[in-house]
Amino acid sequence: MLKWKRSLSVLAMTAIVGTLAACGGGGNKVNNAGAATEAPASTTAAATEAPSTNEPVKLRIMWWGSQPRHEATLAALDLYTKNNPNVTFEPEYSGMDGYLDKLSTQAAANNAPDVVQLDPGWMPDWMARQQLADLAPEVDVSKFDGKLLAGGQREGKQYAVPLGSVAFGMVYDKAAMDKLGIANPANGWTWDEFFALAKESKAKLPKGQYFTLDYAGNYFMYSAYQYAKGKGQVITDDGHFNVDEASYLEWTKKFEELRKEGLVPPADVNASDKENDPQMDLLAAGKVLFRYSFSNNLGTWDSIKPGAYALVTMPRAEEAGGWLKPSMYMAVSKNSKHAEEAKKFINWFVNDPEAAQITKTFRGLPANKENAALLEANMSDLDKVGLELLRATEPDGQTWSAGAGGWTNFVDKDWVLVRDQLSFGKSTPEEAFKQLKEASQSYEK
Amino acid sequence: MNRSTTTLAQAAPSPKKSSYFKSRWNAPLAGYLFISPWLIGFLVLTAYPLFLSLYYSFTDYTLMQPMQWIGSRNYERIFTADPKFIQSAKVTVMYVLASVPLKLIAALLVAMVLSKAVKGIGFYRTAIYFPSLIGGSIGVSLLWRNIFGVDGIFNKLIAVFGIEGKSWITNPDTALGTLILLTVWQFGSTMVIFLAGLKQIPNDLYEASSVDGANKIVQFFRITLPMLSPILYFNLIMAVINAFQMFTSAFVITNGGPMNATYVYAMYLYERAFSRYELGYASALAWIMLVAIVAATLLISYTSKYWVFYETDTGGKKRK
Amino acid sequence: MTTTLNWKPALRHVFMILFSFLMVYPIVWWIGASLKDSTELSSPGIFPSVPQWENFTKGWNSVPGHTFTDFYLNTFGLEIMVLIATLLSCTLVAFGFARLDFPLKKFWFSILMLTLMMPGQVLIIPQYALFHQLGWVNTYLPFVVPHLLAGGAGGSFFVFLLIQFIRGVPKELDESAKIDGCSWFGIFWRVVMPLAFPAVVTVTIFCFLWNWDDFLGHLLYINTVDKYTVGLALRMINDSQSAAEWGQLLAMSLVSIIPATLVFIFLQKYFVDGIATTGIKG
Repeated sequence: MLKWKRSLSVLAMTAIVGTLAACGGGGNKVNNAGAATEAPASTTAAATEAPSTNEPVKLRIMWWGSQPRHEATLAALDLYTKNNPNVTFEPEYSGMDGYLDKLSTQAAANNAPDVVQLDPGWMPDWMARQQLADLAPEVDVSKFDGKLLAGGQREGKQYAVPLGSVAFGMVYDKAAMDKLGIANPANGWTWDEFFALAKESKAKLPKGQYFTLDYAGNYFMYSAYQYAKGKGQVITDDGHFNVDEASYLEWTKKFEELRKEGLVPPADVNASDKENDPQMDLLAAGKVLFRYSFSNNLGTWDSIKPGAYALVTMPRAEEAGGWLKPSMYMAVSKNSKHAEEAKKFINWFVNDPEAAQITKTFRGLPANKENAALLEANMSDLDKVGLELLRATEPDGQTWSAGAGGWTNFVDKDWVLVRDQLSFGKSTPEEAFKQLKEASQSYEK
Repeated sequence: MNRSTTTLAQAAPSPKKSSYFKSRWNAPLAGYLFISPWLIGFLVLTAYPLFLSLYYSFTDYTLMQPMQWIGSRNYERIFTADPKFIQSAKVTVMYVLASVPLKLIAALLVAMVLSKAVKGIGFYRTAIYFPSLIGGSIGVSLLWRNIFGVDGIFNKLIAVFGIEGKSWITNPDTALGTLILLTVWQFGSTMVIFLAGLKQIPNDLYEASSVDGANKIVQFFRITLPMLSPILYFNLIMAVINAFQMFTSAFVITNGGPMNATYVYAMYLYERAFSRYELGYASALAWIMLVAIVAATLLISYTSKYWVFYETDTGGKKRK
Repeated sequence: MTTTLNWKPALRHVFMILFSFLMVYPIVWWIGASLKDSTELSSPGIFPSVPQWENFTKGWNSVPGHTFTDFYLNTFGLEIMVLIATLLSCTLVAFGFARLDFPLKKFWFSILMLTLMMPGQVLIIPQYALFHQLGWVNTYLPFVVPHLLAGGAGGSFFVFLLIQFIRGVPKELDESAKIDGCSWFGIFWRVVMPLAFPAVVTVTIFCFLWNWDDFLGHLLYINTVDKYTVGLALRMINDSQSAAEWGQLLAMSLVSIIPATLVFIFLQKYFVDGIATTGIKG
């Protein structure tokens, strides 16, 4: 007899599902990349204000993560308190499960922590709802990549700073491919090469093993394809449905072929895939050779099968397919009573080299370029592989965008329904396109 | 007191004999004193949020944005232009109709077996309750996938009989079935309540009827079932309420998929409330669900006068 | 409850053993999985080649600055308060509804049922705002006080359950107690409560279990790690965005069901020795 409250206990997963889906988003050419230099208030400028606010302040700070990130962050907070004895912290840290539910509830009751860590996918909604404080002039963003800053900007104001960056590419089972005699892909490869490699591998794959997942209806993979074709974002920043019909049909039909030839798993097996789960992840289970990945996720797969996996850039066509994406943002709540101190802390947290030495790459490669360079020297081998993908994606990668606010559900629900129907063979590519277009009507701005 | 089954047909109460039954209300003040904890709790903690949500349901209210009174527009939209409402309501009704009877029957049968004082009964009872102990924990979704996945134990089992398995959880035809099975499998709480109810039935009733030559089946229908009927009534109502509100497993194990085959009503409500922050619309959905549950419960309690028997002050049993 | 045929008990045991195995299979799988390291988790075998006992020790210390000892102490403290509060309030309220007649009783009872049927999701935010205004966030008060007022996780359910059971207790017992000079409270305490004992045990088990599992409630109202419960600490091991320590997670969640299992093992015997069976005299 499941009690309702108890049921809620697992709301948990929404956060996960919501976030995974919200990661990646679309990309667009951000026209205000120069915004980075808009408000370069220096650290010292902020420090001179210190005397006026020297009374003891307790900052609430909230983040999600796992053990190493918690330890590093706590150590950084200690150091900050040592340097600024008037500032102490009330840290609220947890896993990702339920994080957004809790934060939203707190915010609704005007009780959000002073400093919050946010997923890039949430940014449009949070900024639109005016729940965050303008970070200028206390926070210096002059050392950040404009492409990464864009996700935290709205109407010319910087509401959040990116903490780290990751690259969107692919992971493949190198060990299995070497064993089967399938050639490894190289950075900069094209979609034509991707599909050619699939065909080529057909004869070599044993029963029950497949080339890649059925990505026909996958939002992120299709986004990458549409970008590569030079057709831009799937959903534009101003909130319009922008799926290019020709590219969409091309993509879904190619996967229809793969499905017929048995190069992607049958629909029910495909649907059972659960990323990073040691039992349900089809890559980890040795059932598929390729899947999409962010550059910092290699560690997870590596812990399941050490040394077996490698990363490669997202295939390209006329344009690059992959992009750099901020791993997460840090911001100050609008209702914070200690906004000044909170902003000063964030400035230190993202810019101070000493802080960077402590927080390392636990939030992705620091988005602050100088700190990133500082850390590169002492990186673990796994981090270096991730960095390699990042560097290979960086030069001509697409510009990541969190997209327009209010479309999250379209991606999480409507797109997923069409994905299942394609994969289970319940609708044709043409019907799928029509269905997406119709579903998009209720989200159009 | 004579509580043999012959009193079952005994009619309504005889004139009130007891000294404290003089007025219509035997103890107004004491009554309110006894229920005061709940009453205070309701008035202070629950009433306000409850009525707030009713109010929200008539507004266009997205979190952090100004609220606007729109009358019954939310309700109109839900009933006329919301395919997800229809889809999720359909799935939920299917789930209720399948899981409630199955769970109750399983729980009652097992409770009857477990109520006997057999050697090692404590172990069996714990073992059988176990699935309910792990209820909401993280393990359960891992486990269910482990059983009903492609390489799961279930497929290995049926492979013995030469049947080729599939990924049951992620197949649109069978996904809801596996969730129903999970619910039935976690019948422990329902069973425990039956068990406690069975323990309240005095042994002498059975002994008396054994002397009269009644066999087990007759005893079941003439003693166990009537004596247990208040508990059965309780379990039925709770099972219906819980089934309507079913959320956890659909959310964790299948996330409503594949192809919305397990997209239950509570998931849709959650999506509106917590993914889209449309508290107005979500509240309207919640009140519709509430009305549906109330209707189902009223239906059950309307029929209950034909099959639920309560102890009364007359010493025997009577129709309520 | 007499058995007439001899083969019946034997058959019953066979059936029960098979059935028990079916129900217990998960724990076997779970124990196996909790001893695996990440590389072995994807392999189909139930038990690992080399048991990783350190999943338990490492898991126990996996939250920086704290050990699971702290979280268990927190949780037990919370559970004890909640249990006492629930048993006190729910039995009183149930007795009131089941045995006493007072104005508007039907109305209040319908409201009680209504609170059972209301989907809780839309109530979360207003309720949080209320507790925040009372200054109760980051304390255990949002759990203890509602339970003291027959609310909280399962409150109305327990009241309804107890009402149904108390209705099963013969009323003439009240009457004779009344004649003996018992007050209403005396009837409640001396007559009805002992007879409804199996139901009270049931409520204890459920209350323990549901509060143990009340993840979202705990998550919403407890902010600082020094007040974390076991459930919250468990989710900290598992962060979906990083290399998850699955072995540790499974090990710690396995440990976390031990208290509930013990509570059940200890209390379930009252279903056999329930006072009700002997307390009623014809």
